[in-house]
Amino acid sequence: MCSSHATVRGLLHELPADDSVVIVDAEASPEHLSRATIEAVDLQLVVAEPYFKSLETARRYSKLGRDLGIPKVVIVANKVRNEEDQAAIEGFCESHDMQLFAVIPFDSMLAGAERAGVAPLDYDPQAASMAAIVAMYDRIVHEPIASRA
Amino acid sequence: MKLSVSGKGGSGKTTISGTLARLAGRQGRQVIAIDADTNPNLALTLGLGAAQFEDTPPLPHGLMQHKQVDGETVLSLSRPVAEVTAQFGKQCPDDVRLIMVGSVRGAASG
Repeated sequence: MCSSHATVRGLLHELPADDSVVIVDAEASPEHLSRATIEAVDLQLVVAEPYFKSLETARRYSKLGRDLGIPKVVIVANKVRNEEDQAAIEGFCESHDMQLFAVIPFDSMLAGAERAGVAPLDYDPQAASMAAIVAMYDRIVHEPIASRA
Repeated sequence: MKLSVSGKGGSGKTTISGTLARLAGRQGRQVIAIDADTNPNLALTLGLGAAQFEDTPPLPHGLMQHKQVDGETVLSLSRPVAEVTAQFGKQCPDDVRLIMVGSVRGAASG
Protein backbone atom coordinates (compact mmCIF):
# COMPACT_ATOMS: atom_id res chain seq x y z
CA MET A 1 0.00 0.00 0.00
CA CYS A 2 2.69 2.50 0.95
CA SER A 3 4.46 1.79 -2.28
CA SER A 4 1.44 2.55 -4.45
CA HIS A 5 1.15 5.99 -2.85
CA ALA A 6 4.83 6.59 -3.50
CA THR A 7 4.42 5.42 -7.09
CA VAL A 8 1.51 7.75 -7.87
CA ARG A 9 3.36 10.59 -6.21
CA GLY A 10 6.46 9.86 -8.28
CA LEU A 11 4.48 9.55 -11.51
CA LEU A 12 2.71 12.85 -10.90
CA HIS A 13 5.98 14.64 -10.26
CA GLU A 14 7.71 13.18 -13.29
CA LEU A 15 4.97 13.29 -15.93
CA PRO A 16 5.50 16.40 -18.06
CA ALA A 17 3.60 19.60 -17.27
CA ASP A 18 2.54 20.42 -20.82
CA ASP A 19 -0.50 20.21 -23.03
CA SER A 20 -1.15 16.65 -21.95
CA VAL A 21 -3.68 15.80 -19.27
CA VAL A 22 -3.10 13.57 -16.26
CA ILE A 23 -6.15 12.58 -14.25
CA VAL A 24 -5.96 10.72 -10.96
CA ASP A 25 -8.99 8.85 -9.70
CA ALA A 26 -8.03 8.96 -6.03
CA GLU A 27 -9.08 6.41 -3.47
CA ALA A 28 -11.83 7.35 -1.02
CA SER A 29 -9.49 7.30 1.98
CA PRO A 30 -7.77 10.61 2.86
CA GLU A 31 -4.38 8.93 2.52
CA HIS A 32 -3.93 10.37 -0.97
CA LEU A 33 -3.72 13.70 0.87
CA SER A 34 -2.09 12.75 4.18
CA ARG A 35 0.71 10.95 2.32
CA ALA A 36 1.03 13.83 -0.17
CA THR A 37 0.30 11.38 -3.00
CA ILE A 38 -1.36 14.05 -5.16
CA GLU A 39 0.74 17.04 -4.11
CA ALA A 40 1.94 17.68 -7.68
CA VAL A 41 -1.51 18.27 -9.21
CA ASP A 42 -2.58 21.72 -10.41
CA LEU A 43 -6.24 21.16 -9.73
CA GLN A 44 -8.06 19.10 -7.13
CA LEU A 45 -11.73 18.42 -7.80
CA VAL A 46 -13.46 17.43 -4.57
CA VAL A 47 -16.73 15.65 -5.23
CA ALA A 48 -19.53 16.26 -2.72
CA GLU A 49 -23.03 14.92 -2.50
CA PRO A 50 -25.75 17.05 -0.90
CA TYR A 51 -25.68 15.50 2.55
CA PHE A 52 -23.76 16.43 5.63
CA LYS A 53 -21.19 13.62 5.91
CA SER A 54 -20.24 14.00 2.27
CA LEU A 55 -19.91 17.77 2.60
CA GLU A 56 -17.85 17.40 5.77
CA THR A 57 -15.52 14.99 3.98
CA ALA A 58 -15.24 17.47 1.12
CA ARG A 59 -14.39 20.24 3.56
CA ARG A 60 -11.61 18.17 5.15
CA TYR A 61 -10.21 17.03 1.81
CA SER A 62 -10.25 20.62 0.53
CA LYS A 63 -8.33 21.83 3.53
CA LEU A 64 -5.78 19.01 3.19
CA GLY A 65 -5.39 19.83 -0.52
CA ARG A 66 -4.79 23.51 0.20
CA ASP A 67 -2.31 22.57 2.94
CA LEU A 68 -0.41 20.52 0.34
CA GLY A 69 -0.12 23.68 -1.77
CA ILE A 70 -2.37 22.55 -4.62
CA PRO A 71 -3.01 25.79 -6.57
CA LYS A 72 -6.70 25.25 -7.18
CA VAL A 73 -9.04 23.22 -4.97
CA VAL A 74 -12.73 23.30 -5.90
CA ILE A 75 -15.97 21.51 -5.11
CA VAL A 76 -17.99 19.52 -7.63
CA ALA A 77 -21.54 18.92 -6.45
CA ASN A 78 -22.82 15.56 -7.63
CA LYS A 79 -26.17 13.73 -7.56
CA VAL A 80 -28.06 16.99 -7.10
CA ARG A 81 -31.78 16.22 -7.30
CA ASN A 82 -33.46 19.57 -6.81
CA GLU A 83 -33.10 23.19 -5.74
CA GLU A 84 -32.97 22.25 -2.07
CA ASP A 85 -29.98 20.00 -2.73
CA GLN A 86 -28.23 22.74 -4.65
CA ALA A 87 -29.01 25.35 -1.99
CA ALA A 88 -27.60 23.07 0.71
CA ILE A 89 -24.31 22.68 -1.14
CA GLU A 90 -24.10 26.37 -2.02
CA GLY A 91 -24.72 27.33 1.61
CA PHE A 92 -22.09 24.91 2.89
CA CYS A 93 -19.50 26.10 0.36
CA GLU A 94 -20.15 29.75 1.15
CA SER A 95 -19.86 29.31 4.89
CA HIS A 96 -16.64 27.30 4.56
CA ASP A 97 -14.92 29.38 1.93
CA MET A 98 -14.99 26.67 -0.74
CA GLN A 99 -15.52 27.34 -4.44
CA LEU A 100 -18.47 25.50 -5.97
CA PHE A 101 -17.10 24.83 -9.44
CA ALA A 102 -19.72 22.59 -11.08
CA VAL A 103 -23.10 21.03 -10.34
CA ILE A 104 -23.89 17.59 -11.76
CA PRO A 105 -27.52 16.49 -11.51
CA PHE A 106 -28.64 13.12 -10.18
CA ASP A 107 -29.03 10.90 -13.22
CA SER A 108 -30.73 7.50 -13.24
CA MET A 109 -28.94 6.79 -16.52
CA LEU A 110 -25.80 5.97 -14.52
CA ALA A 111 -27.47 3.00 -12.85
CA GLY A 112 -28.54 1.77 -16.28
CA ALA A 113 -25.00 2.10 -17.60
CA GLU A 114 -23.72 0.16 -14.57
CA ARG A 115 -26.25 -2.61 -15.12
CA ALA A 116 -25.23 -2.85 -18.75
CA GLY A 117 -21.51 -2.71 -17.91
CA VAL A 118 -21.04 0.15 -20.36
CA ALA A 119 -19.22 3.47 -19.92
CA PRO A 120 -21.79 6.23 -19.24
CA LEU A 121 -20.42 8.33 -22.08
CA ASP A 122 -21.11 5.45 -24.48
CA TYR A 123 -24.42 4.45 -22.91
CA ASP A 124 -26.08 7.86 -23.20
CA PRO A 125 -23.84 10.76 -24.18
CA GLN A 126 -26.81 13.16 -24.19
CA ALA A 127 -27.77 12.45 -20.58
CA ALA A 128 -27.96 15.38 -18.15
CA SER A 129 -25.00 14.18 -16.05
CA MET A 130 -22.80 13.85 -19.14
CA ALA A 131 -23.78 17.33 -20.37
CA ALA A 132 -22.82 18.74 -16.97
CA ILE A 133 -19.42 17.02 -17.10
CA VAL A 134 -18.85 18.35 -20.64
CA ALA A 135 -19.59 21.87 -19.34
CA MET A 136 -17.21 21.31 -16.43
CA TYR A 137 -14.48 20.08 -18.78
CA ASP A 138 -14.83 23.28 -20.85
CA ARG A 139 -14.52 25.35 -17.71
CA ILE A 140 -11.42 23.42 -16.61
CA VAL A 141 -9.60 24.00 -19.89
CA HIS A 142 -10.63 27.65 -20.23
CA GLU A 143 -10.02 28.91 -16.72
CA PRO A 144 -6.38 29.55 -16.07
CA ILE A 145 -4.86 28.01 -12.97
CA ALA A 146 -2.46 30.16 -11.01
CA SER A 147 0.99 28.68 -10.99
CA ARG A 148 2.42 27.15 -7.89
CA ALA A 149 3.77 29.55 -5.28
CA MET B 1 -2.44 19.86 -16.73
CA LYS B 2 -2.55 17.47 -13.80
CA LEU B 3 -5.71 17.03 -11.83
CA SER B 4 -7.12 14.73 -9.22
CA VAL B 5 -10.65 13.78 -8.29
CA SER B 6 -11.22 13.05 -4.62
CA GLY B 7 -14.18 12.65 -2.29
CA LYS B 8 -16.08 10.21 -0.17
CA GLY B 9 -16.64 6.66 -1.36
CA GLY B 10 -19.59 6.40 -3.73
CA SER B 11 -19.65 10.13 -4.48
CA GLY B 12 -19.05 9.63 -8.19
CA LYS B 13 -15.28 10.19 -8.46
CA THR B 14 -14.80 7.49 -11.05
CA THR B 15 -17.66 8.59 -13.32
CA ILE B 16 -16.30 12.12 -13.24
CA SER B 17 -12.61 11.32 -13.72
CA GLY B 18 -13.24 8.73 -16.42
CA THR B 19 -15.57 10.97 -18.39
CA LEU B 20 -13.21 13.96 -18.12
CA ALA B 21 -10.36 11.78 -19.36
CA ARG B 22 -12.30 10.75 -22.46
CA LEU B 23 -13.40 14.30 -23.23
CA ALA B 24 -9.77 15.41 -23.08
CA GLY B 25 -8.79 12.52 -25.34
CA ARG B 26 -11.44 13.51 -27.87
CA GLN B 27 -9.87 16.95 -27.99
CA GLY B 28 -6.71 15.31 -29.20
CA ARG B 29 -4.80 15.74 -25.97
CA GLN B 30 -2.51 13.06 -24.64
CA VAL B 31 -4.27 11.66 -21.61
CA ILE B 32 -2.96 9.51 -18.79
CA ALA B 33 -5.68 8.29 -16.42
CA ILE B 34 -4.35 6.91 -13.16
CA ASP B 35 -6.56 4.58 -11.16
CA ALA B 36 -5.22 4.98 -7.64
CA ASP B 37 -8.15 3.24 -5.99
CA THR B 38 -7.43 -0.03 -4.19
CA ASN B 39 -10.68 -1.33 -5.62
CA PRO B 40 -10.17 -0.14 -9.18
CA ASN B 41 -13.01 0.36 -11.63
CA LEU B 42 -11.96 3.30 -13.74
CA ALA B 43 -11.44 0.99 -16.71
CA LEU B 44 -15.16 0.47 -17.24
CA THR B 45 -15.91 4.20 -17.19
CA LEU B 46 -13.16 4.66 -19.74
CA GLY B 47 -14.95 2.25 -22.04
CA LEU B 48 -12.89 -0.91 -21.59
CA GLY B 49 -14.86 -4.15 -21.58
CA ALA B 50 -14.67 -6.52 -18.61
CA ALA B 51 -12.27 -8.87 -20.42
CA GLN B 52 -9.80 -6.12 -21.33
CA PHE B 53 -10.08 -4.77 -17.82
CA GLU B 54 -9.11 -8.10 -16.30
CA ASP B 55 -5.89 -8.31 -18.28
CA THR B 56 -4.69 -4.80 -17.50
CA PRO B 57 -1.50 -5.30 -15.49
CA PRO B 58 -1.11 -3.10 -12.42
CA LEU B 59 2.19 -1.29 -12.07
CA PRO B 60 4.82 -3.59 -10.58
CA HIS B 61 6.21 -3.06 -7.11
CA GLY B 62 9.72 -1.74 -6.88
CA LEU B 63 9.27 0.92 -9.52
CA MET B 64 10.43 3.54 -7.07
CA GLN B 65 14.00 3.85 -5.88
CA HIS B 66 15.89 6.07 -3.46
CA LYS B 67 18.21 8.52 -5.16
CA GLN B 68 20.61 11.15 -3.90
CA VAL B 69 19.78 14.65 -5.14
CA ASP B 70 21.83 17.55 -3.74
CA GLY B 71 22.78 15.46 -0.74
CA GLU B 72 19.18 14.56 0.01
CA THR B 73 17.57 11.18 -0.40
CA VAL B 74 14.50 11.33 -2.62
CA LEU B 75 12.23 8.63 -3.91
CA SER B 76 11.88 8.62 -7.67
CA LEU B 77 10.97 6.32 -10.55
CA SER B 78 13.67 3.82 -11.41
CA ARG B 79 12.87 4.13 -15.13
CA PRO B 80 12.01 7.05 -17.41
CA VAL B 81 8.38 8.04 -16.95
CA ALA B 82 7.66 7.82 -20.69
CA GLU B 83 8.83 4.20 -20.66
CA VAL B 84 6.54 3.41 -17.72
CA THR B 85 3.46 4.94 -19.38
CA ALA B 86 4.25 3.23 -22.68
CA GLN B 87 4.71 -0.19 -21.12
CA PHE B 88 1.95 -0.15 -18.51
CA GLY B 89 -0.53 2.33 -20.00
CA LYS B 90 -3.51 0.37 -21.25
CA GLN B 91 -4.89 1.84 -24.47
CA CYS B 92 -8.55 2.86 -24.00
CA PRO B 93 -11.17 4.48 -26.28
CA ASP B 94 -10.55 8.14 -27.21
CA ASP B 95 -6.81 7.49 -26.91
CA VAL B 96 -6.76 7.55 -23.14
CA ARG B 97 -4.00 5.55 -21.49
CA LEU B 98 -4.97 3.90 -18.22
CA ILE B 99 -2.44 3.16 -15.52
CA MET B 100 -3.61 0.97 -12.66
CA VAL B 101 -1.72 1.53 -9.47
CA GLY B 102 -3.78 0.82 -6.44
CA SER B 103 -5.19 -2.65 -6.89
CA VAL B 104 -4.45 -5.28 -4.29
CA ARG B 105 -2.67 -8.41 -5.47
CA GLY B 106 -4.55 -10.90 -3.38
CA ALA B 107 -5.68 -11.59 0.14
CA ALA B 108 -3.00 -11.02 2.80
CA SER B 109 -0.59 -9.70 0.18
CA GLY B 110 0.34 -6.62 2.20
